[in-house]
Amino acid sequence: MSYKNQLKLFVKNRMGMAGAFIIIFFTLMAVFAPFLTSNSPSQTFVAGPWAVPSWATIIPLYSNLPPNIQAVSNNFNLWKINVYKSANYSVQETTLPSNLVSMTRYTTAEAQVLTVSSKVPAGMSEVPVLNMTYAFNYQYKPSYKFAFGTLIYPIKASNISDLYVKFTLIAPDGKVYKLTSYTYVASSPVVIDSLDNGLKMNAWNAIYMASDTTPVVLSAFGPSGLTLSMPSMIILNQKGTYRLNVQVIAFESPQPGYVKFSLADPYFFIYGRQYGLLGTDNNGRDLWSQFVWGSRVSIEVGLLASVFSVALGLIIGLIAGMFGGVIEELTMRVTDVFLVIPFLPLAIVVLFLLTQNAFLAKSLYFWLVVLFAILSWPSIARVIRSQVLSLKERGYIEASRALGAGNWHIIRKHIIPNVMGLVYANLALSVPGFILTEAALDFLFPGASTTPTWGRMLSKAYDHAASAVSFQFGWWWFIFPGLAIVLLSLAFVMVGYALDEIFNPRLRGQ
Amino acid sequence: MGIKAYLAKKVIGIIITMWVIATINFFLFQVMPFTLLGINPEQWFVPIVGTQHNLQYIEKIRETVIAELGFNKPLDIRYLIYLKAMFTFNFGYNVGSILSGPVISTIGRYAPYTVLLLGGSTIVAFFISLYLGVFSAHKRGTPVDQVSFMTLLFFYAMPSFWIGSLLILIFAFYLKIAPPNAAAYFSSFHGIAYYIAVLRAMVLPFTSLTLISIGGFYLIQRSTAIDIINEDFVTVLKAKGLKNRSILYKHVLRNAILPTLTIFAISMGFVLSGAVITETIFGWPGLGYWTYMAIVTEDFPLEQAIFFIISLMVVLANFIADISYGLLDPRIRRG
Repeated sequence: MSYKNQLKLFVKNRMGMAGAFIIIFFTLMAVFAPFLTSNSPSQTFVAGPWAVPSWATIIPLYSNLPPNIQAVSNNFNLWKINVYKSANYSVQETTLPSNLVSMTRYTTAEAQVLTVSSKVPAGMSEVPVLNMTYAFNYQYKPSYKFAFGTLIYPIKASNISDLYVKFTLIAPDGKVYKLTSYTYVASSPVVIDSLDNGLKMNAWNAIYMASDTTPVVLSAFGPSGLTLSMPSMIILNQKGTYRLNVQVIAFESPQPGYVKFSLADPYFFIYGRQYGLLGTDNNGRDLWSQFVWGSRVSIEVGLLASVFSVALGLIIGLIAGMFGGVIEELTMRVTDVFLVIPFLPLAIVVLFLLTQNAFLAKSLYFWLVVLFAILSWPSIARVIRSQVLSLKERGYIEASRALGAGNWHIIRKHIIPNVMGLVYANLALSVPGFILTEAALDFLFPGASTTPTWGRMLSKAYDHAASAVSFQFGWWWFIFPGLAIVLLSLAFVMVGYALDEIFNPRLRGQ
Repeated sequence: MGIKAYLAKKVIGIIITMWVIATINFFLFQVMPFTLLGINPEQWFVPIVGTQHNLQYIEKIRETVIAELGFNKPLDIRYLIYLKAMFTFNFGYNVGSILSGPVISTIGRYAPYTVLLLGGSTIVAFFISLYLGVFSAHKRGTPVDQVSFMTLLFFYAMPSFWIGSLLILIFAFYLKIAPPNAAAYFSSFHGIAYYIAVLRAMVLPFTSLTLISIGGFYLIQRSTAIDIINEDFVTVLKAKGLKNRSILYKHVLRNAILPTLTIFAISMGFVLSGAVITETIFGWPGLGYWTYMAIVTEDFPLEQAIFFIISLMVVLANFIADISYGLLDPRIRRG
C-alpha cells in the first residue's frame, strides 16, 4: 500500500484525525510560546493573587471582579495640587533616564516632572510642602492587592531634619487610611537602595509599597463567615470615589530652611482579580504563560523519548530478528528484566541522583529522556523482533534470497517497509507514558528544576489546596494543566490506534 | 516441553532477572552520597551522645564501623557482600531522618497498608470492569457505550496526582468529609476506632486508584467481549432462547475473562509498587509513600530494599500469571 493511500485512510479515520489535531494544537503552542505569552512564567504579581481567567467573568458569580487598574494618572494636570504658602511649583515634560523606566508603572520614558521649592519656616514640626490629590472611581469588588508609589528626586534640603512622602487613601464614606510614609534624613543622606532606610539626595528614588497578600484570619472583623481577609479587601471594599492624597512634608526645622525636590510618576495600582486566559496563581504569576511554556517540556520529553526508544528498539529488534544468536538472547533477557523494573521508583532515584550533580541537573530533562529511552527500548525491540521473525518465513523473502539478495538488501527492501507500521504505532503509543511519568516526577519533586511544566503547576496547586478553597478553589489552576496532560496523552493514543488500524488491516472494521 | 522443564526454565529466569535488578540497585546506590548499607547508625552514635561531641571521634568510629563491615573493601567484594545481603533479605538499618530500626521490619510494618489499599482497589476495579466491559460490548456503538468508553478512557489517561488533588480539594478541603492526610488522621486513634479511622481515610485514595485502574481492565474486557459476542456459540445460546442477561454475564463474561485476568494478575504484582503518587498525595503510609519518603529523607537502605522487594513481587506475579494462564487455557500449554 502506498503512502498516499495510507494517508487517505488516516484522514478518513475520525479518531486519528482528532488526535492529530490536538497534537498539532499543542505543538504549535509549544513552538510559538514566546509569541503567545506576554509575561515570564516566573514573574510574580502580573495581577493579583488567585485571579480568575478573564473570560470567567461572564459567570454571574465572578461579575464585577476588578481587572488590573492604573487608578491614578501620571499627568500632574489631572491632580489637584496644593503647595505650602511660601512654595511654588512647576510642571515640565521630560524624558526619564532609562534605568528608571523599568521601575515605573508606566512603560513610556516620557513623563511629567513636578518640581516644588519652598521655604520652610523655623519652629514648625511639620510643613506640608506639597499636598496633591487624585480622585478615582472604583466600582468593583474589593481587590486582593494594591501597590502605590512615586519617583522623587530631592534636589536641595537645608535646615530640615526629615523629608516625608505620605500616602493617604480616603474611602468614599470618608474613612481615611494612612498607607505609609518614608523619611529622608537631611543631615546625613544615606545611599541605600532599600527604601525603608531613607531617600538618596540628588538622585531619583523609587518609592514602592504594596499591600500584604498573606491571607489573615479576621474572625472579629466584618460579617460572620468572612474569615479571610487582606488589607486591600478591607480598604477597597466600597464602591464610589476614592481619593489618593500624596503629601511631601518637611519635618522639624530649627532655623528657617529650604527644600526643593522633583516628583514624577505617582501611581496607585490595583491588582486584578481577573487576568489573562488562565488567571494567576497564589503569587500572581501568569498561569497561561506557565501553561504554554509547560507544553514545551511535555511535548519535547514525550516525543524525544519516544523517538529514541523506538529507534533503539527498531535497530536492536531488527538485528535480533534477522541474525538471532547472542543478540537475540540478550534482547530477550534484557526485556524480561526491564518489564519488571518498577519504572517510577527507579525514575525517582535517578532524578534524585541527577539533582545531586549541578552539571547534570542543568540538562535534567535531557537525562530524563535518556532514562526513558533506556528503559523503554526493550519492549519495542521484542515486538519488532517477532514481526521480523514472521516476515522472514514469508515466501517472497525466500524468493528474494534465492535470487541472490543479501541480508542488507532484504532488510532494506522487504523488512523495514513491513515493520514501519509497527514503528509508527509504537512511536505514538509510547508517548503518553513518557508524558505522564515526566509530569509525575515534576509533581513529586517540584524543586528539581525551575522550568515551568504542567506537572510542576499541579504540584504547586496541590501545595495550596488548603487555601484554594477560600479563592473559588483555584479551579483554573487545578483543571487546565491536568486536562492538557490527559488530552495530549489521549491524542497520542488515538493517533496510535488509528495507525495500528491502518497498518494492521486485520483490525480494520472491528 | 515437560511441565518440570518449563518450571525450571521459569525459575532460572526469575533468578537471573532478580540478579540483574539487584546489580542495578547496587551500582545505582554506589553513586549516592550516603551508601552505608548494613550499618546501624545507632551503633556508632550511642557512645557519643552525652559524652563529647568530637568530630574526629565520630569520624574514627565511623571508619572503624566501615572497616568492620567491609565498606573499605574494593567494589567487587562489596558487591558480593551486598548480593548475599539482598538474597537473604538482610537489608540493614534505616538511616533516614524519620525511621529507625531494621529495614525489613519497616517494610513489614508498612506493607499491609499498601496491600489493603492497592489490593482492594485493584480487585474492585477488576470486578466492575468485567461487567462494564461486557455491557459495553453488548451495547457496542450506541451512545451508552460511547459515553462509557470515552469516560473510562479519560480516567485511564488521567494522571493520578491530578485525580488525587481534585478529590482532596473537593472532599477534604471543601466538604471536609475526609482527611487530607491519612496517616496524620488515623495515627491519633487507638483500638477499634483506629481501624474505623483507617477505613475512613482510605476512601479517597481507594476511589482514586479504582477510577484509574478500571480503564485498563475495561478496555481489554470490552475488546475481548466484542470478539466473543460474535462467536457462533453465542448465536446458538440465543437460538436456544436463553435470556440476554444470562448469555452476557454468564457465558460471554466467562469466555472473555482470560486476557483481563492476566492483566489483573500482573497488576497484583504491582500492588506493592504501583501507587507511589497516590499514597504520597493522600499521606497513606504504604510502601509507595515510603519509596518517595526514603528519597526525601535520604534513607537509602530502605529505598534499596523497597526497590528489590517490589521487583521481586512483580517477577513472582508474572510467574504466577504465566502458570495460571497455562492452567486456565489448555491451548497455551500445548503451544
